[in-house]
Amino acid sequence: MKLLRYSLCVPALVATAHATQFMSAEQAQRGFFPAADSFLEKKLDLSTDQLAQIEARSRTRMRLKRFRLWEALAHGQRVGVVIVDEVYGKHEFITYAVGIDPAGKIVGIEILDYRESYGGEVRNAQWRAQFVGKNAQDRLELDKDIRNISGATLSCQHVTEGVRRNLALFHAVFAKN
Amino acid sequence: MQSSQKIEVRRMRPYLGTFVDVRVSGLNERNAVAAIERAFDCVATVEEKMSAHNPQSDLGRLYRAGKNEAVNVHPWTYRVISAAKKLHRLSDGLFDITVGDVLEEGGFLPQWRAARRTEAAGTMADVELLDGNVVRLQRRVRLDLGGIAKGFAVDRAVEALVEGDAIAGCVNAGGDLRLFGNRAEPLLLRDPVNPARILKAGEIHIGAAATSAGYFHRRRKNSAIVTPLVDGRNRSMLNLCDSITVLASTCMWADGLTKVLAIDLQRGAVLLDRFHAKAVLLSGSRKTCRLLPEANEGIRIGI
Repeated sequence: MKLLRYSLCVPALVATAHATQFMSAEQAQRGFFPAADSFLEKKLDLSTDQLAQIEARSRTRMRLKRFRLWEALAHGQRVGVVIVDEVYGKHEFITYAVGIDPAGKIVGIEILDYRESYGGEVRNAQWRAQFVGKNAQDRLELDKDIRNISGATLSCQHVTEGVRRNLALFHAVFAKN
Repeated sequence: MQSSQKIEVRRMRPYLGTFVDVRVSGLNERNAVAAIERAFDCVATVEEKMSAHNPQSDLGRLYRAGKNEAVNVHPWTYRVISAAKKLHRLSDGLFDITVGDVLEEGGFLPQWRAARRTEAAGTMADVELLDGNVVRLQRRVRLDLGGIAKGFAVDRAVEALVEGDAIAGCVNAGGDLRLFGNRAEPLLLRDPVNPARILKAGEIHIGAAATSAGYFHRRRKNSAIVTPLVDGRNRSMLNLCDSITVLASTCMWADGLTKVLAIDLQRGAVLLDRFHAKAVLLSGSRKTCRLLPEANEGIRIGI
């Protein structure tokens, strides 16, 4: 059996933007909590106290006060929570979902949409906004937390941060209930 | 439900500090999802056992073990360390996994060392492989499998897909990829000077490709710019300006060979032959593309 087959050409710029949808939010919900019979969408307006609590616990900044999440229900009982969030890297825009069980444990992380940006998009205000308030200490903090083998790309670090933030959000909103 | 229909299923999850994209075709949805799940389990095992960032990994356990203490590691960790020793030997010491302390000092790995080191750094000769997946370190060594473990993870994930009876599939861990099933996949590379620009350098049908480039990992160390690439011969960190892609039959060797080529092009070119591998080099500063081992002269390209 031939183990390597390829063809090479003179490298040329690829003009088309690259975007992939891996899963829908519904597919991710069912994948995380197959026992659930329904998913109840909730829109949260976080209080100043909750925001402060989340920022302290996750050691990240909260960009938004409004959050959208789904409660996974089985026979009326909450069996988990699914949060869909977005992150921006240097060259990627990523939508991901995280499933958290009632004990606050992550059951899964799935990338829903992955989009490559080409030059212009990185000048967009939201992309720049992610660096507001960041300092050298934040960066060191990040390096300590990212558990990887080789270097992490910026957007992957942001997913790690985002998951931490979503866990803190779960604790701030659901833990005492 | 389309559960019995054979479709392509694709999933992506964050692992190994990057995004791992797994694609499979020729299975119904349920079997495809199950095969992908097993592929991700393989990647998760590699991350758990071979991360130089995680103190609970096999590498962390080896680091904390006393001198000459036998440590039982995961069979996969054992395999990757064996392969690393082989590449170390074949590259005359240029490829080296005992440079974790250099990367720690450069800020690429979290600090594990409590005090300033007083003893000399261990070398590959201090890493002993004993029977039964046992590793023994004769001196304290901080191992870093960054140059090879990601490729190994991709290979194990591909194996899981093949065992799941998939007709074709592809696993791509942030540019380290392997595919099977004879379906063409474009080989897309980033322009090393402006990584937002994507270049198409060809197609792969079967086999693996891995790329090493410094664009996402540059850091300032004292007054020099460095990337997490260490020459094992003098334990110095280098600034990798070019993009180096190796095509080989397995992703582990492709991954490891990119590091050898990045450190010493001539030495690496000799090894390519031995592994029946090919390389594509994009030089950012000279704006040239070079193919190894075929062409000696660089082709000027409009990047």
